[in-house]
Amino acid sequence: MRTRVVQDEPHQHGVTAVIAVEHMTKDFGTVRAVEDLSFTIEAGSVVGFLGPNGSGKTTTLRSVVGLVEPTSGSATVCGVRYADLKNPLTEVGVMLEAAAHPARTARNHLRIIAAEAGVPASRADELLELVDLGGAARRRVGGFSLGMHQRLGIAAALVGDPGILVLDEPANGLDPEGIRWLRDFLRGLASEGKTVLLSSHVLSEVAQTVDEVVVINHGRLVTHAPLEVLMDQAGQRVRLRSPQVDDLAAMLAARGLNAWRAAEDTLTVTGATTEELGALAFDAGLVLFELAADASSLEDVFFDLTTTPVPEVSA
Amino acid sequence: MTPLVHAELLKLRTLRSTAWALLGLLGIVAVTVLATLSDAGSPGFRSPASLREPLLAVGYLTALTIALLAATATAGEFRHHTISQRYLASPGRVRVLAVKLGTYGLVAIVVTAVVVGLTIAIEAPMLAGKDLTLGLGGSELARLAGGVLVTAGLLTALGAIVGMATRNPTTAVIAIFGLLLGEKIAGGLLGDLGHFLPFTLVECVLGLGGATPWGLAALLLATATLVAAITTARVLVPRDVT
Repeated sequence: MRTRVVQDEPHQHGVTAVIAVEHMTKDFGTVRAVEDLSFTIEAGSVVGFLGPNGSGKTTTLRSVVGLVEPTSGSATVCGVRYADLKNPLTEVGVMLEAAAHPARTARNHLRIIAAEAGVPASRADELLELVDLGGAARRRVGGFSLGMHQRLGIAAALVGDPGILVLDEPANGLDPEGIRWLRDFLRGLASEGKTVLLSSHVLSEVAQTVDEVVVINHGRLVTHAPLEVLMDQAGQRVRLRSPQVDDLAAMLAARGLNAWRAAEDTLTVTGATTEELGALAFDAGLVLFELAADASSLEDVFFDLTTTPVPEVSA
Repeated sequence: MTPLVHAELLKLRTLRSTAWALLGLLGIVAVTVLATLSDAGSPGFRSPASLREPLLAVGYLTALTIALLAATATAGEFRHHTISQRYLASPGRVRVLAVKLGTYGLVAIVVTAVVVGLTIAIEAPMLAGKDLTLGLGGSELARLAGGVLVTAGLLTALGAIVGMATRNPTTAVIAIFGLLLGEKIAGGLLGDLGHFLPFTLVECVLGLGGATPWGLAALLLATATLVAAITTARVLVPRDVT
């Protein structure tokens, strides 16, 4: 038996939605990559866009910025299609892949984007310093490490000094030091009031950065909730070790609690505190060797969310 | 539009392949000048018209080189995924295509003019030393310049279109040479219709042969380029960038 996080409605507090995906479906031939997906991102929030590989994250983000045309539904930025933004690079910074011509230097790569955005070429040097690539400005991008590529991609997204950032898997392939750098960097951007939507297939990578999460799986929305909700969910697990584990499981099931076997003699239970479970076991005359709040990680909750079948969307 | 043109020029300037292409062109100029000067004066290679043919060949090769550069550079944007950045900066994709065609076409015209001009500047005085002339009076010069520059602009625009359509540099090059070779084969089979195939029209525009008058050939070539551009803009450019 698996727990299931209740799907929350996206925030509806009258705050401006800077990114809105509404009933979006995208088919590639016979493959449905995204199905009836809806969520909104509010101004000033830092949102994790999560899902396993192949869940439709990149397709969704590409639809938001107009690189992929939805089969149905819509994706808008500041209330309009990305294509209708006047000078997109000054409004939305996008990093979908750390794409750069390998034969160009980092500086020239950014200078080209600066030219497209209509900002001074000196912006390239500023950004290279900002992402700690000042020393590699005149090196060809083809010789960059993955972490350097990611930093360059972030710098490219910042060329127009946009208020909204859409970053696809910015932590992908980064070493722990790189992830820490990214986390601190994104926190800095958030403190400036920028809206950040960043995708990842690893919740722990973004858990210390984001305020809320949008989780999708098989192209459909699983949950859109503040991070605290998921953290509460993680914290509500209790581990019970007992020589009478079968009787214990039956008793908990009879009381409508979700429990599953974590080991031969161990159950993990959600929906009740350690105190409540201790009392229940005592009342049922069941022996407990161990009763403790499970230090399960957010990753377990994420795993639950993305492995539980998503209900079919009604027509 | 201007920032996009600036960015396109910057892209060309910051690639080594551009420098290699220009170096290659200088090599072509050198070889042509040497070949022309060594043979000039021999029977059948004395008349101004025959002496101008290598010049036209230089123009053709320059245009073809820039066209290949345009095709590989444009297709390379897809290979290296930098096209996403272009479309993010300018979501109006037709505008991106138009800027590429215009910029590459213009670059081709300028480079071809410089290369052919340089060749003339070196050859003419040396031929004069052999009591020979290229015969570039007012009308002849205008005809040569018009043919070479129109060819350069249109052929390069076609190259950029092939790059946008194929999205792969190798495929783009194969497509261009395939078309060139295929046309030679198909031209013979098509009879009179073969006169209206693209590379045959190019030869007519340059004055290197062909049966179609150069003005008509230029018009047909421009129409073919326009049709190819519109088809690419309507059918291929809107494809998803994944």
